[in-house]
Amino acid sequence: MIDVLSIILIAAGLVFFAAGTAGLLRFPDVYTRLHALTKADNLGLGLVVLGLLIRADALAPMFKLVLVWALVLVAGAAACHLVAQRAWTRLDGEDES
Amino acid sequence: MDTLSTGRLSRRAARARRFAITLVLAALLWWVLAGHASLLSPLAVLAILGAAVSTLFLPLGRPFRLSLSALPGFAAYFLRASVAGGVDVARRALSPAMPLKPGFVSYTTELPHGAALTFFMAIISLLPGTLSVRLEGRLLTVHVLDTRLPIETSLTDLETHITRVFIMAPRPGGAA
Repeated sequence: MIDVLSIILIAAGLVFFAAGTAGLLRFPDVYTRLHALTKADNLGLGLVVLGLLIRADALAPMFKLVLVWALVLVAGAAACHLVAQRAWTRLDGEDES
Repeated sequence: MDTLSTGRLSRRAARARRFAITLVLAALLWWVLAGHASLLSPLAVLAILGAAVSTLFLPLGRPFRLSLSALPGFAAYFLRASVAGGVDVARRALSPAMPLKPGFVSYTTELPHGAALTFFMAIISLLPGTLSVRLEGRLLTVHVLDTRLPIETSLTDLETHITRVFIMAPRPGGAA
C-alpha cells in the first residue's frame, strides 16, 4: 500500500519536472521560463520528497529529505530573483540608453 | 543615556538568543546529516561551536519574532499556493495553445525592510503566476504569467499572512 502510494507520488513529481522542462523550452522569454522552472520544480521535488518520506524508516532521514527540499526552495527562489533582476537591469539599460 | 543602555542591553539579549538558536540548529543539522553517534566527535563539537560563535561577530539584522501560533496556518497556505502555482504553470507549459499573457505589475508593500520583506519576495516567486523581479524602496516589480489573474488580491493576501507570522520589532534605538 505504501509502495503504491509512494510510486504514485514520485511519478506525479516527475510529471511536474517534465512540465517545468517543457516550459523552459517552450516559453518565449527569460521571465516566463523562470516561472516554469521555479514553480514546477518546487512542486515536483516536493512530491518526490513526499513519496520518499512515507518510505523512510527513521527520523533522521526524514529530516534530511525535508532539508533537501527546503534548501532547493531557498536556492531556487534566490537564484530566480537574481536572474530576473539581472535581466531587468540589462534590458532596461538597453532600452533607455 | 537611558535609551542607549536599554538598546545595548536588548542587542546583547538578541545576540545571546541568536547564539543559542544557532547552537541548537547546527547540532540538529549535524545529527540529521551524520547521525547521533557522531554528535560528540571533536570535529562535530568544533563545527557546531564555531557556527554558534561566528554569530557573535556578524552584524545583527532588524530583530523579529516568529509567531508560533500562526505558523501552521502559514504552512497550509504555502503548501496550497505551491500546489496551485505548480499546477498552473505546468498546465500552461503543456497545453498546446500555451495560454500566456505576460506583463509587469507594480506593488507597494507595507512590510518593513528586513527578514519579512526578503521572505515576502521569495514566496512571491512560488505563488501561482508571479515572480518578484525588483525592489526599489517599497515599490516591488512583479512579473506575471497572466495579467488576467487577480494579482493584487493574492499579493495582499500573502502580505497579510506574512505580517501574522513575522512580528517585527522596532529598530533597536528607536528610529524606524
